[in-house]
Amino acid sequence: MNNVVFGVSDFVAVFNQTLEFAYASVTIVGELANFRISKGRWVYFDLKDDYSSVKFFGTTQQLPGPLEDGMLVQVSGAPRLHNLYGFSVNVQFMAPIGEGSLKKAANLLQTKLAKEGLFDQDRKRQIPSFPRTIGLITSGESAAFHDFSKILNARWCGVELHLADVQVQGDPAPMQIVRAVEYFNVHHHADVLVIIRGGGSADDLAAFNSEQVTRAVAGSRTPTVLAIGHEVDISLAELAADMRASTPSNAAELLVPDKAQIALGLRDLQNTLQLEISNNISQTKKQIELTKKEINQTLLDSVHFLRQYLLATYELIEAYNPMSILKRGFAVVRLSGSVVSSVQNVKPGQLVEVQLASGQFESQVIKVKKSHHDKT
Amino acid sequence: MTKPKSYQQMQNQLNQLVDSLRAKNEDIDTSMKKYQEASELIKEMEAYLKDAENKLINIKKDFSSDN
Repeated sequence: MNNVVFGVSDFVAVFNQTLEFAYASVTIVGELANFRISKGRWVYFDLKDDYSSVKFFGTTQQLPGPLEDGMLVQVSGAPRLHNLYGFSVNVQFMAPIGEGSLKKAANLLQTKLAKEGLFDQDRKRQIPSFPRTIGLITSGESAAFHDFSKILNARWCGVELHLADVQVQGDPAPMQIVRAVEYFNVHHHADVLVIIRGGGSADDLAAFNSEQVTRAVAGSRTPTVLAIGHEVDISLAELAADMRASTPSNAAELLVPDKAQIALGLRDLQNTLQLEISNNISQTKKQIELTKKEINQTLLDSVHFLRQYLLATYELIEAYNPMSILKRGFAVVRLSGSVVSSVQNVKPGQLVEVQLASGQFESQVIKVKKSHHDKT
Repeated sequence: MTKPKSYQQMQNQLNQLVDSLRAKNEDIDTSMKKYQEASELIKEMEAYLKDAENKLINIKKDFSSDN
């Protein structure tokens, strides 16, 4: 092959064409080094192993969350020769891998999001007691989906379960979950959103420790219930949820009541209400009886009083009866039918009638004497 | 046609009736009427628990892209 002579720019262009043809995109795994963010937007770092180091360039939008040197990461990108700054790989996608790095990335992200208040208890909202529409985000083929549906159907009824079938692991998982959350929030009403996934390795559960999913859960207008992995696995997205369940089955248990228990409660309430209303009626009856007795007593008291009053009045009238006075030895004297109330009205020789209690007789006035106190 | 009542709506209505029955400031006629209403509501709720079925709706949307 002839030794071709290029101008510098031509060489860069040809080199990039060759790279694009041979390796349009590469995925490299290595230890993160010299990680830095410039002007809040541009990201620079190296990936290295024991013998080599490669430069990378990207933007903050491509970051899976906070990262730091020493973490093991997998980066996909396009290798390029920059006309001024030399060779680098332009980042398309990157994620920490390996249990240690994932845990470290999750810890860094947790600290960052906690500072923003995404996990605060006072952000947690009440989950509706009897949800009518449940938006379920999970894989439709998963054991988690079957466990959740089984418990839901056994416990409660009248629910519409709207399934958004998404991948719950692998690179596409975070975006699919985020889109599903947005879809329910914007286009498809649900009383509550449930996001579930069964157990797995740290890599399998990584989507639920990603910043996008955690922010989508925290930002959901519809209340959220999350159950990711086993009871011991607590993901960041779960911390941001309104309610966390230990497993998908437990999510169904927390979300809906047991209809058998509710039916028993209704029976008990019916019996209690019946007893209360019977007591109420018997109390009212007692009250009526009491009122009746009081009215009777009042009537009796009134009659007694009237009798006493009549007796007293009779005795008073009796005391003023002239016949009673006559009986005590007094007499009424009449002259020509008129009562003689003064000796001045009679003269000696006149005939007067004298009435006693037992009868009357005629009498003749012999002599008239005035009393000392009779001034008339 | 009116939308059937949700269990939550029936539960709220029942709670109101029970609270009002227990407030003891109602006359006996009103109490009896409310007791009847509560009994009928309990029957409706029992029928709901017996008859209502869950329904699975698969959302026909591909979440792997923005479209």
